[in-house]
Amino acid sequence: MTKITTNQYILIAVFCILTSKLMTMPTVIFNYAGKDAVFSVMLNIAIELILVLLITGLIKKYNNTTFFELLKLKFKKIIAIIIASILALFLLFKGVFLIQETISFFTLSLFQSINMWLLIIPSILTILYISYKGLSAIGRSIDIYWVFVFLALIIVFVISITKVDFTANLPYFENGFLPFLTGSMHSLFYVGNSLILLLFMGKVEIKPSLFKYTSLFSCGMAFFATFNIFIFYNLFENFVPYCTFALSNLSQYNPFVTELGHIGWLSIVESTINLIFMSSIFCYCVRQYLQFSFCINKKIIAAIISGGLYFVVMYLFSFDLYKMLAFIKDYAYIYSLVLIPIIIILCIVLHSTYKKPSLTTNIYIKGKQNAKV
Amino acid sequence: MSITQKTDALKQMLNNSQDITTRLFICKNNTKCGLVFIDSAVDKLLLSSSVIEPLQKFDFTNNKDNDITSIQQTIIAYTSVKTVKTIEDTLQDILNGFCAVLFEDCQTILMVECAKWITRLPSEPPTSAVIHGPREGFVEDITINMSLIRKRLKTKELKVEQLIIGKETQTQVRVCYLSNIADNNVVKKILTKLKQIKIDGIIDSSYLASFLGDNKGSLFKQVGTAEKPDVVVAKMLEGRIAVVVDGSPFVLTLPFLYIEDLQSSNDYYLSPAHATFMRIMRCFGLFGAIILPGIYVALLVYHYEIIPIKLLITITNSIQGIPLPPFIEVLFIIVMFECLYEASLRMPRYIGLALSIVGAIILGDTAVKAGLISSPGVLVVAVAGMLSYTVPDQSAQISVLRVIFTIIGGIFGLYGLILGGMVLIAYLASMTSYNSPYLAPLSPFIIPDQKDGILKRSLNQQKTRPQSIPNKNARRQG
Repeated sequence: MTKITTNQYILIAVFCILTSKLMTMPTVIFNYAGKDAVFSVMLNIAIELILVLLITGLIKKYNNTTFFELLKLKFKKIIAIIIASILALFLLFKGVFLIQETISFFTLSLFQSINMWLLIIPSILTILYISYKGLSAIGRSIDIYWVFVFLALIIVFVISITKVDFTANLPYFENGFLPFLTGSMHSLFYVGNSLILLLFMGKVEIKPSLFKYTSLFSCGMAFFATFNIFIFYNLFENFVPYCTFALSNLSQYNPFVTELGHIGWLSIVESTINLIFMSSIFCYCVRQYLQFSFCINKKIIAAIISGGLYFVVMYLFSFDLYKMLAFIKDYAYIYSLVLIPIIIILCIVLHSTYKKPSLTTNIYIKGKQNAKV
Repeated sequence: MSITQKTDALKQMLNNSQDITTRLFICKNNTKCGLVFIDSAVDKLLLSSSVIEPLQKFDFTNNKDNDITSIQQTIIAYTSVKTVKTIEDTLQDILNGFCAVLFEDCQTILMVECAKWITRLPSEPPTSAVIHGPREGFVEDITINMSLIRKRLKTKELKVEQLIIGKETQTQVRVCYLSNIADNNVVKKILTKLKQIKIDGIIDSSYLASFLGDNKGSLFKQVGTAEKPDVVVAKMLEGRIAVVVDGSPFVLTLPFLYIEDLQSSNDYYLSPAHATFMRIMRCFGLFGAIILPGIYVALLVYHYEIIPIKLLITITNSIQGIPLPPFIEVLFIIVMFECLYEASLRMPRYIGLALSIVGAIILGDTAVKAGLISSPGVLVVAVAGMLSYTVPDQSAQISVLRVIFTIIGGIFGLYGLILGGMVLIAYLASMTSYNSPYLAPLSPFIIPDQKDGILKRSLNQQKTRPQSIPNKNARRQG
């Protein structure tokens, strides 16, 4: 079976923490939490972090079996398919949302006028292609992208931090804890990128340092992302509701950037790579689900169906990000509210029911190998 | 059967070709001998001094039982002499430049290797010129090429396997590797692939390259090529396998990684800091050569607000009045550039030089002055064209990708360029060459191999062989 390296897994986990958190999420949260939005962001990122750590722990334990196989092993097949379907539906919608987010922010930021189809069709084809190419292509691609993504993030961060007034949003919790909790709840759909990691179970070359470094780098990225959003809130203050895409606005309308010249495109390129790549991983997960549940052997067919599903969901929302955002704020968060606790419980159950492979089995296998030699 | 009948029979079996020469002569005690050889393939001077003369002086009365072995061992003053029993072998050896020596009343034929194929002497290859380091290059003769390799690898671990490929050309192919370093599975896979080739002829090593690649029909190089023995030996020391083909000055090396084309043999003879700098420049060169015209078109068509205002004003002034839209204009210049390049390659050298001057200075300048194309457009394409030669081994692929990315940039803008880049990376990342990831050691990111990746550390810090290439013996030093 093709496997990704520990480093590639860590990078994917770090991308899960980052993805989509710096785009529409800060504005959505601000609409509910106001000045306390940064705490909602912290809570959401903390939940994401917990999911990353729980799933990484599981991956380290069950390194010889895939998630779907494990579900089948632990539960009945029908229950396994139900859980997988609930998860796949979530991942499908998240993947579609990421594309829609990319297309919309790219159009708003850089295209004066372009036919929408010229963005939709290439996006879906790219995602379909990467998901079809599979695990090794995904794993190896991230080894190249991370440099550009982190470099662009750091540049945006450095040029923004010099102009920010860190006291701008003080005092916090003027209206109690309710706005902060409401903000977090209504934006819960943004959490859960890390559920894709479940589908990497059994497909990672496990090193002893896997958990340690995943925790370290994920925490680092969680801090970095939160701090960037904190800067965004303090820089734009009451104008936040008018800034749909945090990162794009952070770099495009930052006075410091304007003095330097227009380098907002740097963050736009970075975000596009990040979002499209993550959307491809979501599509890959949907493909895996289709292959598992409907016993589709040919991966090209499963990839085409996933791409088709992406298109259908986008069509249902009339290719409109704002319709999608409204749906997320009003309904989709409920789905996350149910799914995320289920996954957390599932992870805990799988952790607790884990049995170390018995020594005799190992000896038997070792002996068999020796005999073969 | 008389000696005349024998030689005539051989000639007839070789289709009575006019360049098949038969020579009959009589030895001391009236024993008749005959020679059959290809006129243009043998060294006639040596043949007469080392075969005919000694045989004419030889007294066959002492050789009562027509003992060919004693003639082979004592009379023929050639390094390679053998006896053959079958007619097929005889014919094939004659075609390979051997001279068949036939004796009256003797069934065995003596084959003397006296081939003298026209070849040139090793010289500095035009495509791999270096400032420092060895200047010897391979030639079209496999024996010379093997001697160039052997000269640098005086070890019993250098193993050479020979195959004959090509039904009509009967081309010698030698697979060379260091048996204590190269991975057996890779060697086995290469030999299996070579043995499976059923083709009428192998004219050049590039013929074999298309059979040895793992990804059929790919735009990208699947097999490494080297024109210099020092490069081949360095690659073999890293665990690669070399395939030497008779008639080709290019030796193939496998497995092949994309990064090899970003490295030059010159890097290993310069200071590591300078080599690193040059490699980074090559990466920029590669990136710019592919994407620069695409970015220029995308910016002018869709995203001119990204361009700094002063630069935008300059460009706008230059493109004012140009009848073609930027997309078509740049495509037109690229096509003209490629045609000019192709024409200058095909033309005789002195005309090619004149053509370059006419194309680059007169045509370009006149077209700009006439207002048909803009000077920024010419500049961008010229810079991209020049950059492509920072990585000369990839220039063919770059030319195709440049056109593709220009079209993508013109239709889909910067967004399309990003997506195109992502598809390209996914495609390259999914490729392997004999189980080695094509983009290694960048992707997957192999930390120990970064000592000789884009960065270059000094040789005393490279204590192990690259992990990207499967090998048996990881340690290089100590």
